[in-house]
Amino acid sequence: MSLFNKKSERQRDGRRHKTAEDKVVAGKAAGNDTHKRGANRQTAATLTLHSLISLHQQVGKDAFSRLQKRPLASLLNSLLIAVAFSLPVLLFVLVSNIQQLGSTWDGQPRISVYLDNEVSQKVVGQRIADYRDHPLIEQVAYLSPEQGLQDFQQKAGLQNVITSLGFNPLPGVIQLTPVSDASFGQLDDAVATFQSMGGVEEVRLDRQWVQRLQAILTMLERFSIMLGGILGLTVVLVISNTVRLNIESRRDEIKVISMVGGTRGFIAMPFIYMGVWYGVIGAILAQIIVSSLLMVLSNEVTNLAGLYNSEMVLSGPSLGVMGILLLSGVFLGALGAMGSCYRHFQALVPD
Amino acid sequence: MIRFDGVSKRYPGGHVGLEQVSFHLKRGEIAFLTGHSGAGKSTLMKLVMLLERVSAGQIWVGGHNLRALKNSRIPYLRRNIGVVFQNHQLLFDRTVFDNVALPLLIAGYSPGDCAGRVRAALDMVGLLSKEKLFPVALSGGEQQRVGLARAVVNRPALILADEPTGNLDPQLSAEIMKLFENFNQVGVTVLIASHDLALVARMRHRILTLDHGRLVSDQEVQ
Repeated sequence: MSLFNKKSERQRDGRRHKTAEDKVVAGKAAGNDTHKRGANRQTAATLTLHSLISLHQQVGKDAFSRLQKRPLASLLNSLLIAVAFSLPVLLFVLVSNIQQLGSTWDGQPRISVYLDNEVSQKVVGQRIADYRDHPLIEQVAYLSPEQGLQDFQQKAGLQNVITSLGFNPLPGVIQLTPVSDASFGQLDDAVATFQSMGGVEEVRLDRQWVQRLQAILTMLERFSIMLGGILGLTVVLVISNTVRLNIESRRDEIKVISMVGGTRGFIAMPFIYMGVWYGVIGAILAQIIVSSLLMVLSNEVTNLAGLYNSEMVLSGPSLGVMGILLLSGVFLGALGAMGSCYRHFQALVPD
Repeated sequence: MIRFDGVSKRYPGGHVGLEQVSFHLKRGEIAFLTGHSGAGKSTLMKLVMLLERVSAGQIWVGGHNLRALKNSRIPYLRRNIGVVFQNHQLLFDRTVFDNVALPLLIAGYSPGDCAGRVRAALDMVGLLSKEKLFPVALSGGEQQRVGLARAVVNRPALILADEPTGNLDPQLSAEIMKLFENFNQVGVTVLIASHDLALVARMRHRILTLDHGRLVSDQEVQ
């Protein structure tokens, strides 16, 4: 601002006493007058990138050391934020794990043709030949009732049940792998055709459960995002409240800074940094929480997957998810703090 | 430097802070503002700093009409005004040095550039040796001098002081007043509100007297 730039009238000579103190002032004055214009210009010029960066560094450090001064309170606040962050992230990570599991079957739906129990070997041979010739079918594999029984006994550990039945209840199955570019419409037509062929009990396109799983997972994913939204709001409110308390306790400081010419932005800066720190610390704690929970869960998951003959390994949050979490921490922290400053400066900052 | 033209300030509820006050404080002048408490001294100071807005009339500070000054420009106006308060308004969680450096940081100086100016300001008030102390460790007079150093560190063209000697004994008061005179002698415009009539009379400067919000006398330097 170019206020006050006009050259001031100087010392009124009659009143000068050359005391020691006076000389200091006079020395200062000589500099003062020559610099007066420069000084004001300099005020604007000194808002360089360098001074701005060092100001931000200092304010950021100050805000962090303020958190350190009351470690327990800060930790509890951060934990609250961390819990809010970790719930949706945990859900999201679990869903994406299951999704990965589903996606390995997703690409290639299979058709299982269950044969009549009393079908002759000849008819079976015919059907296999038919399917081999079908343009939509790439692979044909036949699983006889005996093979089916063997597999079943090995996998499921139900030996006793089957033996006690005294006969083999399993039908022969022809498993068909369609060509990869077959559409579901085409496959539905093919299934209808196969159904009407002789010796066929039932034809199943196994995409249904994949579709259902996908639908459930999509829903859960949406849910985790919604939950993220709601809990994100919680984070904003928690941080905004924490910052509000801080603003209250630093009333005097805010007033003084405002009276010596601090802009609202300058006054808000330490509070915004505080919000950002809370957000970042909360996000980091959330990652620790999520990782430890997943570590505990991973044994169970490996066991469960073993039962399903799968080698699924629970993977933790991806780098992308961690990055998003951290950015959310920064963003929500700043947002909460700014909201708080906006509401509470109204009364405190006189402009 | 400061010009009031028919300025009135009424507070909600009907209390009158100032009523039709007009005066002109020229650049480089020093003046006292007196009157019993509640006469409007603080209100006048607040209007100059735009802590409050006028109800009627015009105020010019440094050639700027304060009515036309947008809220967003207020901080920049205040950077050109050094203020000293009765209760000195120091920040007790910062050292003397950091307190004095505050206006410079606000104006955008990097901490490195501040040091020289801060020391010069502290030297002027004779507290250079105490820069690392916290305000709690200082006496009342010393705290007031830190407030003074903070007011002048950014080389303002105008210093406003609201009861700067309110809590000090006569000797300390005289020392503080001497400092104000020193600043005035290097061209800074100074306006000091004080109800200490004896002290004000001894200083032999222009005296503006307020009573119930009205300017009842304006004695020039004898």
